[in-house]
Amino acid sequence: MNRFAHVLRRIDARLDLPQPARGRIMLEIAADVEDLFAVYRERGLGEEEALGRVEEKFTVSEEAIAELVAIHQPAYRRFTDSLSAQARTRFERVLLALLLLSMLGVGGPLLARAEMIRQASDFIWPVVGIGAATGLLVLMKLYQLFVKKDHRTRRLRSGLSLLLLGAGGSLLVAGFGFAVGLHQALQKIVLDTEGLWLYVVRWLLTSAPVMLLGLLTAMAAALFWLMLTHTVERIEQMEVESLLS
Amino acid sequence: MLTFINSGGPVMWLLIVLFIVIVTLIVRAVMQLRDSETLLARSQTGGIHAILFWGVFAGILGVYGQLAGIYRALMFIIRAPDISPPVIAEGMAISFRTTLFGLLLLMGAGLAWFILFSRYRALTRESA
Repeated sequence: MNRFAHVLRRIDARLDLPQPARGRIMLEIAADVEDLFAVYRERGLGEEEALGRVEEKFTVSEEAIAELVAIHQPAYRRFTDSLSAQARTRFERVLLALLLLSMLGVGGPLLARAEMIRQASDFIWPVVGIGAATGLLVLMKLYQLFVKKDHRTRRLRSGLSLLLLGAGGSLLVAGFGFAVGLHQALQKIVLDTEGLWLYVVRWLLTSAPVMLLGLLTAMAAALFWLMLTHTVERIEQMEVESLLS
Repeated sequence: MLTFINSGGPVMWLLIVLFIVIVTLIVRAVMQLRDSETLLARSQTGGIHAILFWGVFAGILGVYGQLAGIYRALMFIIRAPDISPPVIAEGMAISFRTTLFGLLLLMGAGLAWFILFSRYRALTRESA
């Protein structure tokens, strides 16, 4: 049994928050409690005295509880929590995976052609780079959670935000490349109106692959983020249950 | 109608699936909002945010479908350079169908989300 279970149960009972934020905040507070205990022990306090001091520190008022919640629940966390609350049912998750596979089925054969990459504008390379980095991060998280089973609270969510950043980044770079291509095509059309269709076709040929890859990378990164976040939330929930028991 | 759907290719069928999902979610959310006590007791939004989530997905899927269609068409145009500009223009116009349908779904989902979430917030304020 956790030596701080009664302190944590008291705080848990007063947290007016929905899951998964509640579970995550409880785990973070539990880690803070353990850290404070370790600090007191390092200062030379006996185990009993250190326990008493920690209990005293965490016997908190409503205002302090609200402050604890605010510290552990910044705006971006609230935003990502509301995002990860989507596609929670098995049906929705299966649908999301099927849609992604269908997108891969539609765009994959095109993207796999060497001539498509050759024709694409230079913006394809940063998108490929972001895609590769995101893929590597997904593999590392899968290894951490499912093979190594490293469920340390402070490491559970590390890297998850980077997946969302990768999704946004690939969309941004691809969109920027698309706009730059259009700008260049229009400049050429102004000088040579006869070649309008040629420039439009050339712009689409160079920009469409970049956008296709950017969208596919973004959707795949978002899907893996959703899947890994749900896994992390389940692990956090189990950890909290064992802490409070 | 079927001609319109078929002209959009496989992506249009995926968008139809998303249309059904979004409508189902809207109906479910409306029914859950009617039974507001259960909804508030569970502190859940009744899947209202999911409507917007799938709407955004439909918008992105629509754009994706257009790009894939345009690129495939361009590969034919390169091989047959004597294609007349009106034919290219018509192809471009058809390629916009998935984007338009996807964005229409996004707008519909966004509107439904706004109305339902406003109702949900009003209910939570009343209960407070």
